[in-house]
Amino acid sequence: MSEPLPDEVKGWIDQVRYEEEPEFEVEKGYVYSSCSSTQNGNPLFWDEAVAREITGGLMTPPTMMSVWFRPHHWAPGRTKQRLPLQIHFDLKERLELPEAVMTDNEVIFYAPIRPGDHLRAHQVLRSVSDLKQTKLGLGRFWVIDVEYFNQDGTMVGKEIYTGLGYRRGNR
Amino acid sequence: MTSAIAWESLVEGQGPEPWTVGPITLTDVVRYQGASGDFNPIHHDVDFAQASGFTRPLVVGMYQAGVLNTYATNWLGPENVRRTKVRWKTPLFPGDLITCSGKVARKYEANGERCVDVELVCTNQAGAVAVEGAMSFVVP
Repeated sequence: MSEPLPDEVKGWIDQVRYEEEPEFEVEKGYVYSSCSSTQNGNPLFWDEAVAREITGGLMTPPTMMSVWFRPHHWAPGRTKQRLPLQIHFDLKERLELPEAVMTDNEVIFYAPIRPGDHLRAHQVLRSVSDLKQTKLGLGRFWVIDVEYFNQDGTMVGKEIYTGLGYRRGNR
Repeated sequence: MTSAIAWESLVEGQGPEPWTVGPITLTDVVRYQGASGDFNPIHHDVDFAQASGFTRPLVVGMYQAGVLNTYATNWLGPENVRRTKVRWKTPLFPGDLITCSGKVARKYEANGERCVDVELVCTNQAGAVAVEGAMSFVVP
């Protein structure tokens, strides 16, 4: 299980990649749909007057940070499918690990994300493990940071994903 | 929710009453997929899920993380969240009931702020841990 990590992948570590802007600004419709689906009735997401008094305006749920960067599966003029968290898919392909799951997600919040915000983000691969035998199969764990900024250039948060790419069984 | 919870009322080892949601339906899953933009077919397409090694579609992991987040932020306020962490342990499937519970792990002061770390867990109806969570809040 000592298959070396390809130099190409080593070169991705700690490099800022995939700087991107979402297809639409932060908006209430998605917030309401998300809150409705998880039974989240907190007035900071629903009631403008209450939210203004407590936090200066409506905010979005902490778990929605990545939602704004999920591309629609079709858009006019697009010829190639866009994928969220592209580095994750790059690793699957380059390391020939066809299956993958996320095992951990950590989010650090620096400032509220509010309806009307125009965000941008970039991805940074932090580490890739040696091959390991897991219950799912033989694979590697990787850690990817996604750093989010608002229209003022303020970093509003950071997500840290741990993914496991693997081949089923012992292949 | 969003109440100014009293610092003095928070006791290490204690938390709010557990909250049970469900049974989760496939419609709940599809609704969440629409809200989140995550349309991975493993969560709604039986053939795709089976080809991926599961007996049937599994619930989107962020769904149960979102429900756990609802539970925690109704307790200590979404405006006070500083950090969240979730670890997925056991997949959930339509038909499962999920129960969220949590407790104060640590109260402390840092950089002039009163802070609290909480431990959270989401279990299915058999008691299996679906999600372990940890969150840090400031308490104004």
